[in-house]
Amino acid sequence: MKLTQWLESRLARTPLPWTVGEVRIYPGYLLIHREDAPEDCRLRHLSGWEAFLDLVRFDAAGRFRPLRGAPGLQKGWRRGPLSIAELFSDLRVLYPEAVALLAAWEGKRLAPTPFSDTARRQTGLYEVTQRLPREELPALVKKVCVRGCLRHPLWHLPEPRPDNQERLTLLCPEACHYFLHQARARAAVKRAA
Amino acid sequence: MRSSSSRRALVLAGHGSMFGPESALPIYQHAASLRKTGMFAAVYECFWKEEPSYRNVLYEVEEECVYLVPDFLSHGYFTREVLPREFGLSGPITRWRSSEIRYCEPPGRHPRMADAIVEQALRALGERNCRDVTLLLVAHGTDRNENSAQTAWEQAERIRRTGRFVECGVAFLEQEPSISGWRDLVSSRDLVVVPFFLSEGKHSYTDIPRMMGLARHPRDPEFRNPQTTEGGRRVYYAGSAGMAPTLDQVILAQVEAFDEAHSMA
Ligand code: SF4
Repeated sequence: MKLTQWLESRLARTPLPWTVGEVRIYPGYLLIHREDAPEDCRLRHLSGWEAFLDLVRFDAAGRFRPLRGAPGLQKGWRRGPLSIAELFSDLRVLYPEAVALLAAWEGKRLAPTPFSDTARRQTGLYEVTQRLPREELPALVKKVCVRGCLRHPLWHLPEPRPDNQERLTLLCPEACHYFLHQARARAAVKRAA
Repeated sequence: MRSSSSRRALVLAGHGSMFGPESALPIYQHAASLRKTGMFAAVYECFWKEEPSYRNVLYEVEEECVYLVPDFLSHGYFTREVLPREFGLSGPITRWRSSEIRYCEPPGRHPRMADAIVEQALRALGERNCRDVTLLLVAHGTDRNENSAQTAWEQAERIRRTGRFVECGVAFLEQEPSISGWRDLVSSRDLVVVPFFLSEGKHSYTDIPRMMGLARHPRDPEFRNPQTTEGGRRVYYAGSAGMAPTLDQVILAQVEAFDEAHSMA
């Protein structure tokens, strides 16, 4: 099944409200920040990929957002009505691969990669992540992933498994580069100590 | 066999940055313009340091034939080591589930890249005739991979052979010959500097002008071409090579080159 069809049928069997990270999808499809009201006439209609990409890549203060899963998406905009294909590509910009990863997860095709494997693959500047003491990992995951990101780090947290078909969970099957960057800093401090 | 466009996907793999938006920008632009051509059923962008990651992007790819183009200029550490490793490539052609990944060379390596570099140089020169001007290509360079610098040398040689400029040289930020020694590297009075980078950013806006001792960098509101340095030498400073408007065509040329090299045309 094509991913757009999968998304359409997944939405159809998901009870409202449809929330993905910090956005809410309304039937039809309308996409807004989950803290905005769809009837609010002050919402800025965003058209064009460049304006939408800018909205996603910068916070309200104009700072660059390197991690799309981090809370801090700007409010006050609307996209739609959108076709299912347009909705799919908007979600792709907001939360890259979120739909594809959820489809793979629910289709039992997604195998999370343990941190030790990710670290072992690194060369160059990130090779030092291999030396991050194992006992340091939970605290780092808590700080970076649990508090700082809306994705569910499947590669680290076994529970609760996001198998709730009523939610559109953002999944993370492998430590991202942002996490590796933090792990590298932590490992370097440990090494120097 | 050449696949029909409905079965072909293009994956552009860029570097990206955790610290600023500019690094990924040309990749988004190239993807947007290549989507418009209709030559591919889908065009995906992915990044080493941003999302979507190299590791996750393939979950989204639904086409049978996937051209993976590293949106890089140098053919070095990233294109020869990092990308193949992260995508799990086993050679120029790799099977991934029901798809075939065709690993192309980066646009920076294609002969048409020389035209893109010249395009950037001519834009900086404006009306100025280029016949007695040296084109100086400034690349990053690294001791980690000796092939990294090779790409810049190859392009400089192509430009030199055209005879359009009095000379065409190469200098680096992190290896010899260093850009800080440009006065000894360039013998003509006037030169046009083209940063051999995919995007604008710290290297093109700050590092190269600083190492050259230029009074103004391109973001300075007072920046004008040319800048006259001591001894009356005039420096024209161009936009990064990867920002040339024709770069999307160079990417396409690399896809075609892959098909030709692997008898798929
Ligand atoms: S590794 Fe952590 S911070 Fe990075 S995307 Fe996954 S959950 Fe978010």
